[in-house]
Amino acid sequence: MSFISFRFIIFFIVLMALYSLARQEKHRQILLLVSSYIFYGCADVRFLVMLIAISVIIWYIGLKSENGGKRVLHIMGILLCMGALGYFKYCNFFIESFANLLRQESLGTLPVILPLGISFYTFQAISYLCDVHWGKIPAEKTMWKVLLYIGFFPQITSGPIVKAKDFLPQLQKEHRIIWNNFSAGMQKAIVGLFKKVVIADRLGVVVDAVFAAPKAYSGFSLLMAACSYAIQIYCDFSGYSDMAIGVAEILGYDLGKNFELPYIARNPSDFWRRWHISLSSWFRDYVYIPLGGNRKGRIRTYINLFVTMLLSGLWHGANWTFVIWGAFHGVASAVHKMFSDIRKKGRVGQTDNKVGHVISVFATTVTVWLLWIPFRADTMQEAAIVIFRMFTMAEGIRYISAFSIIYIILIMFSQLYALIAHDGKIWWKPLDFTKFWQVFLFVGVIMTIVVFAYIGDTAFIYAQF
Amino acid sequence: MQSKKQTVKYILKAFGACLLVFFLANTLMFVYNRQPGWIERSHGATTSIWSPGSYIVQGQEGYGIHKVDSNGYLNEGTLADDNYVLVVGSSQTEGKEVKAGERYCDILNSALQKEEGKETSDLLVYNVSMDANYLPKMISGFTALISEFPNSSCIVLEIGTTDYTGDELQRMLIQREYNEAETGEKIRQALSEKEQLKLLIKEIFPLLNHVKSQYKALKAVNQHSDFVQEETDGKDMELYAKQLKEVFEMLDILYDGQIIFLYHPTMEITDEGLTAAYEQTTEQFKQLCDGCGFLFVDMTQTFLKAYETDYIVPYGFGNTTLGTGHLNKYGHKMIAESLYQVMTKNN
Repeated sequence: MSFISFRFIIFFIVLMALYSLARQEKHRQILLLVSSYIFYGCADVRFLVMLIAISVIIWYIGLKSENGGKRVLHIMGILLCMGALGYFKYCNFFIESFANLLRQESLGTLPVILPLGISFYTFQAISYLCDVHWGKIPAEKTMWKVLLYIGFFPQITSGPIVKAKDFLPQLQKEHRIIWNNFSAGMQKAIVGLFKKVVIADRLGVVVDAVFAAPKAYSGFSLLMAACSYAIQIYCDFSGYSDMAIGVAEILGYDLGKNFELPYIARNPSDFWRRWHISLSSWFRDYVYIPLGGNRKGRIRTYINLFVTMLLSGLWHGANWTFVIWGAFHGVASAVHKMFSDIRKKGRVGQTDNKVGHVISVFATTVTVWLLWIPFRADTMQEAAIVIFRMFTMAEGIRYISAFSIIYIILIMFSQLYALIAHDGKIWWKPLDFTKFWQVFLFVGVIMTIVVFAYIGDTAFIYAQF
Repeated sequence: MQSKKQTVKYILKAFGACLLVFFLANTLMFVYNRQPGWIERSHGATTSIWSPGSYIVQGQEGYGIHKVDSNGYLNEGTLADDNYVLVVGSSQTEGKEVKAGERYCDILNSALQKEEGKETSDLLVYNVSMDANYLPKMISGFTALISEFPNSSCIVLEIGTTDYTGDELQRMLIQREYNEAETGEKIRQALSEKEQLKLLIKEIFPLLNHVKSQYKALKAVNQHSDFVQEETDGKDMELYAKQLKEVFEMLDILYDGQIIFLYHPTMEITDEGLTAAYEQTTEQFKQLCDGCGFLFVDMTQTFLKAYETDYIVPYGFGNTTLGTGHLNKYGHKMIAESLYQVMTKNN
């Protein structure tokens, strides 16, 4: 069930009604769990069975491996999650890569369908196992609470990846639909919907067309398509996150922030503090720090950074383009760290003046946008063609979409505005519905969605990861 | 009491804000997407017409504003008394997505007027096109067409495919008669009050129509109702030729002037460049045209050459996808030039 469907609207209205009628918190949480499974089961019941099975096993292992308990069980739990992810997501990729290595045409592939949201919920399960084993939170005695944490419907298909230590304590509190949460959540969801259907989906038309036949388009068209993709993926993914966070907020849950104006980042590390924050912090907490972080000398720090980013790239998909993308980000992060260490600046990325700040934001944005090309391309060869034709300003079809220009300017200006007006933290403040012009603005955004929404292929990019 | 007053105040504010937003969005629609009233009819050249005297704005793909004439079609002038060209087709020939003057009928009209040295504003090329008016519908209305618009010297029938099912070819033989009571003006006046009100609402509130079409599109996406084109492989070519021949013979009997089939195939942009869709029926269609003395203007090579020399594609707009969708101004220009060449050569 997609957020952008009539089915979801009906589903959510019914859920809110029942949620309001439920008298006890326990009933509300069980209702949420059942709703989450209905939401998820609509995609494929087989996947639901697997989700429940993994969740139950994780709950059991959590009980047994709590606070440094049975280490073997803890490792087995992590291996179960990694194994499920590895089998469903990477099995055929490794078989094909192995075949290429042996210069074999094919070793055959397995008939595997990628279960929806597996990359997200297995990471949440690992988060639970680690947080419990490391003693950050106690093991949850009530099984359905762990099931709800792993299967919570707003974030199960595309995140944010909420850590156990951030979510489970929320289950100890009362949750009701109150006006403040409803108003703030609804605003976030509407802004997310705007980013998704008005901006991302419209830009997707241009991007898909150009990346389908890069040799046919001019260098400038490719440049515009690459820039459009940078905006598309930001609006698509942050749009989904806003909707998920908004929907959860209406129900009284806090999923945290997932994006913080990433295109005004000053350096690669700053970018990853602003882009897909829940994934970056997951890799920091459960990969980078366990690898030794920055505690084992400079060289190990650079290697740890590189390995973490490489794995982050691989997480995005079973394709060498994602691995290369992750590797480049790893190199960029390591080089930046090295550079900062040499300059012995107090804080990474701090610059002395405004000119330096602007230059570092510009350089980071160019690097990040350029690296989106291999991320979007189907093969490295295709990425190379796009980059080569772009830089040589090759001749071809001129396809400059007016929407690309408008939306690139709109997004970059909104980020700059946020930098100037709100210290780079937010680009809008929650509206006060008691004021006429703020209601007008909110209704205006809804009307803009209705009028300018692109109706067509509206699948979320990150749902495929 | 104070709280009640406050609540009423908030509700009024929200209502006012909604009203203002609606008003502004509706105003925007007058320059972005405004469809005039659509009148169905059963005894005319086409099965529907636009509300006469209205205007149409299309800004979702390209951009074009067009006037609807007294007959209910998109023409910027009055029809000449005789010796004119009728162009009949679908939304491609209507040319709603391009500016007036950039449509192939407009360019051709200017060229023919120049050729004849006429200073008159009377149209030598008259557009009788409607949305979704594909060949089966066009041919079914052929008798009505030549009765509604008599004294033409040439009729151009625009087609995007040469592949028709046996059923469609059979239906083409059933001719629609013309009824004089169904001219644009008369049919408009004869509408009931309820229908008139419906047209008025559609024209005053273009936003409602836009929202309705967005809703329909969303519903279609939710239902995954994709348009599936019939497979052409394994087609009975003999039967196809026999049925099409019958249709062409009928047209030949009905009309003394020149019939031109304007064929513009579906194109696709691939890494190899612009490619045209192949249809096994096209060659047969061409041969039958030759046999009946009809002209077949095939735009395939012209379109491909324009890509090879200048990277120009005939379909699509910057706002949507290039290579697919409606004809853009380059496509219209190339068609006008081809038709002009054919007409002057065969005059």
